[in-house]
Parts: sequence; structure tokens; C-alpha cells
Amino acid sequence: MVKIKLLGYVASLAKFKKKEIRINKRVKVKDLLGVKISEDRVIVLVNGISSSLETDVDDGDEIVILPIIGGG
Amino acid sequence: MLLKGWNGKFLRINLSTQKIKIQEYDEKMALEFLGGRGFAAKILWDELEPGVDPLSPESKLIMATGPLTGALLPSSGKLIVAAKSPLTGGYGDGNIGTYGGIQLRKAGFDAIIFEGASDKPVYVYIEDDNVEILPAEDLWGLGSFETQKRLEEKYGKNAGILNIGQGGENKVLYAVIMSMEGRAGGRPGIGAVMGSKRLKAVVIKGSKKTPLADPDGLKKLGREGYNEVRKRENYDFWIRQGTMGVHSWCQETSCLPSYNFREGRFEQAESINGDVMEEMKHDRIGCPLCNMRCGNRILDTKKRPVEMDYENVGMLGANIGMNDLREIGTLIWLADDYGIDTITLGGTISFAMEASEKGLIDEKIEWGDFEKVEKLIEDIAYRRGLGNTMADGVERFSQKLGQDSHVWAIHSKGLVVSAYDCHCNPGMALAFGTSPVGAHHKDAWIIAWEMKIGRESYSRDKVDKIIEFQRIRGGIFEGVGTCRLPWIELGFEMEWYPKYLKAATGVSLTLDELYTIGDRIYALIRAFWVRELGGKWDRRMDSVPERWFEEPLTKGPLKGRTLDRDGYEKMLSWYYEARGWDWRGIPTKKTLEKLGLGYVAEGLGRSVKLNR
Repeated sequence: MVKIKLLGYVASLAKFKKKEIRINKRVKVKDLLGVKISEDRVIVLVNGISSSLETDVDDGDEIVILPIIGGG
Repeated sequence: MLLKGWNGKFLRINLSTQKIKIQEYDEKMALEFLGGRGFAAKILWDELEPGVDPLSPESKLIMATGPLTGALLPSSGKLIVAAKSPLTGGYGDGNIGTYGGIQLRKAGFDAIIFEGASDKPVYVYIEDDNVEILPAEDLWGLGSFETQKRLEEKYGKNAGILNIGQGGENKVLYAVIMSMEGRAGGRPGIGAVMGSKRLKAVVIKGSKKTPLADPDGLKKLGREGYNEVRKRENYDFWIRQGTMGVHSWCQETSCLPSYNFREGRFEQAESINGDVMEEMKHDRIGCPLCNMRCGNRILDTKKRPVEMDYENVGMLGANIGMNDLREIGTLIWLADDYGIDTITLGGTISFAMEASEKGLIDEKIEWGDFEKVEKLIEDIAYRRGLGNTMADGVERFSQKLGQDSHVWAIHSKGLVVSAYDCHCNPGMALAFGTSPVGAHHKDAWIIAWEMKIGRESYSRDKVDKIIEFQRIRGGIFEGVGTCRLPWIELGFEMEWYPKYLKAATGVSLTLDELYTIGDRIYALIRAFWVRELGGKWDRRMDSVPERWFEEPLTKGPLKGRTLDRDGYEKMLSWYYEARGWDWRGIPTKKTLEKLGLGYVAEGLGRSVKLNR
């Protein structure tokens, strides 16, 4: 199982906020989204550490994808 | 004034002598300083006696618009309020979205300069060229909401009204100026300066039109701009959560200040985030002329509508251990009504909580103790007991406590850090350290960008990005009189602004030329600080809280992280070099002259020795 969480309008684009996905082999973050998202629009965290949509994930990993925001 | 777009007039009101003067200014002022913050900094530099007590009659309070304030284009309702800060002792300002700025422009003025101080409480009524100083005994002692209400009843809903609550009256050093329902500006105590002049409110009504170079063109461009803003793909989410969307973002990235910036995550963040706010949402308000209004309100514990912005909820939520959004709402409501900066208030309360935990004060103030905090806020507003010490901000509070409390007094230049923890954001830390008013995020916020290029690096890229943002946010937006959020939150391009300026003023200014104006304003503000501090100024003034260097995060994926002091100092030196400031952070003579500030070099040279 990998846990994936999307924030802000990224969740609106992918049409989900949280999901647990069973994987049998290593996959890339981008393969878990079901929608094409451009790398330069998001920040990807795998287990809290800055990563990318191309990062490989393993069973047990936790992924968070955040929009690039302006911070007010 | 030969140029269009600016009214070319300042209104000077002396509250001691009751003398009112309309003063014209020239094209040079407009082209070199743009408006807003630029005008404020220039006036304060030219007119304040160095070393003046910011709460004395000799101190001045500026309210300034920019050449785009009030024009029909995205989020153009901004007014700058500025003074020498009683909190930091340096330059202080803030911006407010308000009818006040719009009506001031319609009355035919670009700025008001308040001088002197009244013996008795007064408010000022401005209707075009007619200016009256009226008694305000019946308003003195009222909160901001009631003051606003009474003046609206008298002068109408569209009158521009700026006021202070009891915080400003009692000179809480981080009192703000308020407008409409919960609009606030002037974190470094600009509301206290207003209170020191016994000026309870300013009411403005105008019937004129600022002359524009190309009114039809501006109207068309403005309409296109509004449509563009609405079309952005994150517009819908923005409308739903406004700045509260940032809460979960900060929690996930370990930037959410918790327990006085000890941690960057809060175990109960999910009970007070943007999703919770959305479920509780009562209505949405905001600034005039904005089509992406961010003032989402919920009902607080007493069923009063209260605006929930990220900074407020961050500082009066996780940072003081609060986990109930309606209770946080009540604390925000109190701060807004008393007219006290929510950010500094949150940072001062969290400091008191930590002091209590460590046994450095007698009072017991537990993390998340709602009733206690409610009472404390009242004590701060009325300067009672411990509240009196807390009303002076964390730096002075910490100086009183001594021991190691300076390590966890979370401020830069005396201004509390706004709601972003920087244990692991060296670039953002530098943005706080070099902000021209003390630790505020408004001039540069680079966390998302920093994460993309490598969060933990100490690089020249980050320094350059901070300067780019300071030019745009701190220079252009604080100068032209529009809000930065269409650009920074929804990606509304900077290229619109030279077009807007051209249509409004007839002057063609490239972005690079606007950046130079930003650099000029920055150099001038830095000169102001140095002139005020004299021999006490050194590069340590640009440092950030010791806690980020000394005490690692203990939770979450970034456990163990701290800022690296050498890395920070290296970036600070690069920053000075890029700005043409010397190793102390003082603009060189050459830099000042290049920016057309030769007269500033001369004045500053009397306080410190300048380098070439």
C-alpha cells in the first residue's frame, strides 16, 4: 500500500484528496495520479522529503502533492 | 503635477495647531518613488528629526495611495499606512484594502500626513477640500467594530473609514489601523502612533475623478484583467479557502509554527485547517475592487462573524496550542476589535506560554488555554498586569526576563515572525531577516520556490530570488496601490502592471525601471533604519531567531534540522553585495548616488561613516 494525499487545486484536478493504492512493484509518483500534472506546478513530498513526479515509490511510502503557492 | 494618474497633492493635517494645508508635489517625486510605501519612506526620511520618539507629537503618520489605487483593475483598493515604528524603532508600514484609499484619491489627494497631537480625542472628516477635525469623545474607548459601525451610520457604507481600537488608544506597540470589518494594516505599531495623536478615526468622502492618461484604455485593460484573474485554474480553490489553503500546506511541509516555533508541525492541525474552515464558512468579505476576495468568515464561539486568514489562524492556533477553530475565531475577533496585530499577538502569547512553562513568570498560562488567552488579550489591550509587559512585544518582554529567553523570542528587528517556521527554509529565513519592516512575509515569500530548487541549500540563487520578490512585492505592489495576491497566488502576470501604469499615468515604465524604483525605496528605508540606530546598527539587525539555529525540530520527517549559521551569514553577505550595501548592511555612497539618493548619503553620513 502507498498513501497519497493531494492538496489544494491539485486535488480538484485529480478529483481525489486521499487514496491508498496497492502496488506490486516500484512505480513512479506520476503513475499513481490518473491525471497528467506538470512537474513545475507542484511540489512532491515522499515521506516528507522533497521529491519529484519521477521519484520511485515503494510499498509503505507516503506521498503528498502540493500546489506551488504564493504564501500570501 | 503635469502627469496624469497622480493627483499631485498631499493633505497635511496638524492635530496640535489644527492647521490644514494642501501641498502640491512634483513629477520627480512621482517618478522616483511611485506612491504608497515610496512616498511614505521619502516623507519620513525628509521630515522626521532623527531619534524622534515615535509616539510624540513630533512623530508623523502617513497614509498613502499609489497611482493605481481606486482604478478599475484587479485588487486595486490598497492604502499604505506608515510611521517610525514604536515597536522596532525603525521604518514601519502596512497595507490595508479599504474604501479609505479609494475615497482619498477621489477627494483629490494621494496621501495624508498627520502631524502633532490633539489634546482631546478627535476624528478627521475629509470631504474633497473640506477638512474638519471633530471631537471623538463618544468614540474613544470603543472597539474597532463599533467605531466603524457608528461612523458608517453617520457617513454611509461607502465612506472611507480608518480607525483604531483600544489597542491603538492605549499604545500597544503592535496596534494596527483598522478599516471596514476586520481589514487591518500596520503591524509595527502604526495604530499606536495614531493613538498617540488621539486620532480615533479618519473618514473620507470624495467626489472627484483622478485624471487619467487613457481612461478608455485603462477601463478595457482593467476589465480584461478581472476576466483573466477569474479564468486561472486555481481560482475556484482560492475562492473556497483563500489563504486558509496554506494551513495544510505548511503542516505537510513542516512550516506550520507550533508551540512558539518550537516545531513546524502540529498534531491537531487537521481540526483547524482550510477544510474545516470551509465546512464552517459563514460568508466571504474582502477589500473593495477585488474579485478574488479572501476574507472567509466563520461564526466564532459567540456567533459573531470573524475573518479566518492563514496568518491569524497560524499564530493564534497551532503556535499557542489551540485546536478549536471557533475559539481561535474568538481570539481573532478580539484582536480585530481591539485593533491589535494578530501575528504579533500570537507570537507574544506563545512567548508568555513558554516563559510560564519554564517557570520564568509567576502566571500560569498553559498551551491552548482559551479562557486564559481571552483574558490576556483584554489585559494587553488595556495594558493591565502582565498584559502591560506583553503590550510591548516579545523583544522587550524577553529583555525583561533575561536568561536564555532571547533564543526563543521569535522576531527580527523586534517584529514577530509571521506564520512560517524556518528551521529548514534558509531562503525564507533570509527573507524575514532582510524584510524592511522586521520579520514580515509581505516583501518576499519564497518557500515553495525554495523547495523546488533544493530546500536545504544556501545558494546565491535564493538571494537573487529574494531580491526579485522584494522588488516586485515590496517595491512595485507596495508602491502602485494594488494587492500582490492576483500575481502571487493566481499567476496574473507582472506584465500587466506597466500597461496599467501607462494607461493611468501616460508614463512608460518597464519592469526593470520599476525594479530600480524598488531598489531606491529599499535603500532609502535601510538608510532610515541606520539613521535611527546610528552606532547601534550592525548586520546582527538582519538576523533571525536563535531558536532556528540552536534548537532542532524534534518531530516529523525533518526531525533534527536547524539552520546553519555560517550558511545564513554567507547568504546575507551575498544579499548585501547584490544590493550594493557594505558588510554592515549599509548602502554605500556609490549605491545611494546611483539611485539618485545623494542627499540621503549626505544625511546618513552624519550618523555613520559611509563606505564608497
